[in-house]
Parts: sequence; C-alpha cells; structure tokens
Amino acid sequence: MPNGDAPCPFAIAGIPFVHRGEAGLLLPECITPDWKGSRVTHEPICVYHSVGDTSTDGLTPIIATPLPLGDFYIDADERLAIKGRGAGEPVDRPQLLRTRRSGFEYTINYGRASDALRMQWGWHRTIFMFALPLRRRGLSLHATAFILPDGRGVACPGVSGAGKSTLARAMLQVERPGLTVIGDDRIALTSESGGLRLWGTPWHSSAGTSVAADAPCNALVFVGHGDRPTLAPMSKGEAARRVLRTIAIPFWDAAATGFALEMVNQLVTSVPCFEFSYAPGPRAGAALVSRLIAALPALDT
Amino acid sequence: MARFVRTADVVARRIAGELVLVPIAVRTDDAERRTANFYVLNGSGEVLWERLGSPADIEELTSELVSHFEVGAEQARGDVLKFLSELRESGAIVTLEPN
Repeated sequence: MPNGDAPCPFAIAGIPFVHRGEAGLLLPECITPDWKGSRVTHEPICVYHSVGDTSTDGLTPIIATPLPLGDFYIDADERLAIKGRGAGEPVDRPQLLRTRRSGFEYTINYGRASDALRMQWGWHRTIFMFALPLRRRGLSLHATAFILPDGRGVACPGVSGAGKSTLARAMLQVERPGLTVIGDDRIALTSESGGLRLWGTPWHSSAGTSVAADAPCNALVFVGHGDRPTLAPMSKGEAARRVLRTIAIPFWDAAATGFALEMVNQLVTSVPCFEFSYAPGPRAGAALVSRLIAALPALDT
Repeated sequence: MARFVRTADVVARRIAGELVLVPIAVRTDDAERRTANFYVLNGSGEVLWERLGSPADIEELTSELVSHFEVGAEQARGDVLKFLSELRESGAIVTLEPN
C-alpha cells in the first residue's frame, strides 16, 4: 500500500479507489479533474467495471430512493446492491452495483460500455459514503466545512436547500490567510486516534469548492436565517436530530448502522454546537469567523 | 387481544441523551417497509419501547404510560396507538396474533 504524505488523486479521506475493468472499457483516470487527492492511510476500495447483466433477479428490494442513487437491494448474503437508472440522456441504460466485500470491493455492470465513464461521479460518491461506516472508519456528512486560520475545523451540516452552498460562498469571500473552505456538499468525518477529523471530498455543490484538506473537527454550526448575524449555542439533542438528517446511514446493516449512530453521539457530545443566523451579504462570512473564534475555547498553546 | 413486541430489525442507540431508533431494511417485498428513517423517542416513547422488550397489549401499554406520567387513560391510549402505528409501519415492532 502506498503511504506517506504525497497526495494520491484517487484518494479521499485516506482511502484510494482502485479500478479494474474488462479489456476495452474506459476507466476513470481521476475522480474529478480538479480533485488533488488526499494522502493514503487506509486500504483501497476496489471497483471492478464490466459491461453485462444488470438484472436484479435473486436480489431483494429494500428501498427506492430519488435519483441519482437508484433502487437499493440486498443479495442473499445481505450485501448491498444498487440498480442505477441512469441520469437521463445520454445515460439512460440501467447499471448494477454489487458488493463483493462490504466497504472494500464492488462490481459495477453497465448496460452499455460508453456509460462507464459518465457515471463515475455518482457511483464513486455512493460507494464512498457507505464505505466509511461499513469499514467503521467514519461518516459522510451532507455539509459545508471550513478550516479556521488557527487550524480548527468546522462542519456545517444541512439538508438540501438549508443553505450550505450559500454559506460556503460567503466563507469564500472572507479574505483571511489560512481560512480554507474544504467543501460545500459532502464532507467525510472520520474517527482517528486523536479524535474526530473532517476531510474534503471531490463532491461539491454550486459553490464549486472541493479541497483535499483535513482538520480536526472542533465545532458544528447549523445555518439559520436572521437579519443580523448571530451565533447562538444549540442543544446537543437538536444538533443530533439535524446531523441525523444529513448522514448516509447503511440502513441494511445493523452493526454498521449502530456504528454510525455512535459516531453521531460522539460528534455532538464532543464539540460545541451552534446555530448561525444571518442574511447573506458581503460581510456574513467574516462575521461567522469572528464570532466563532470568540465563542470557541482558547487553543492550548 | 393482539399483543405487540420489538423485532430484531431495529438499531437503538442513545444520542445526546435521547433514544434513537433506526429500523433495518430487512428482506421484504412489502413496499410499505421500504423506508429509511429514524425515530427520536420522547419520554413516553422510551417507556413504551422499554415495555415492548416483551409482548404487551394495548391495555398494558396504556397503563404503563399512566403509571409513569400524569396523563389520563384516554390520552395515554391515543399515544400508544400512534406509537404502535408508526413503529409497526417501520418494522421496529410486530403484532403477535392471539392464539
């Protein structure tokens, strides 16, 4: 396994993707062109690509989700399978993801060879989101996240439409050396020996920011609306409910689901939780940074 | 009278002091059970969940609530029915038909 601090363009939160495919099938050369990759610290996720059978015979349906995830099934060994319906033109053929080893090895069968590359954004994301808890390594948060100039990491989880990208854009306008917005859509939260850690992922939303940086997780901030920027403490129970709506729960696997819930508990009980109410404007990001620095406990130096 | 009991198809963890239930999607062709959801139990929900560790009927569950909270039998019964209906739909509890 490669190691050290050199970034690997296929690695996310320490986990590299390795692709194998049948001859003639075009495989991904990167996750997204602007993704620089994290350092490699963990065993890879291997994905085997092939053109072939996408039938769900022998699989048991467990849930239907909106696009783009597809319909969820489990096989006879209770491992995940997902039937992708394509994302509309030009990818309108079904695809089938099967699990070989939960959290580590997957197969994707494509209805048509040319779809293999087109669908990588979504398949990578789905595999990765669930691999974190399946490997007992962490969780995928639907969140914006940034690193304060002093190195402390802040996660801002929210459901679709909660204002994650708007907040990320406000933070990107703050001219303060060392302040880094690492993402506005999917953030990896991992459990490390030193505590919880936040990592950028390649999957960004409309703020378009996805930075392969990581930092300790030192605060949770939820976005609210108000005329004047206000940072108010939030109860742990309310924070937990809000985080629960933003995580990818491996809901077909009891042990992995238990792990995910324990991580949510660890997260909300170990860091201060706030609600930041504001009206988007040119100074909103700077207001959040100064209020957070004032509200967080002083760093031991 | 029908009795109800917890199934093994649910994960329960305490998060920030509150009991959270996530029903596990088990093998089923029943479309109603194909939901991915979580439940945060309130005080009466916790009492009922605890009691449902062994089979109980609606009257037993109602008196459990009445003995724990300052609540009338009628309101308690309403709470029990609502709780049972939600958790049965999710697969977290099942009905045991009378012999």
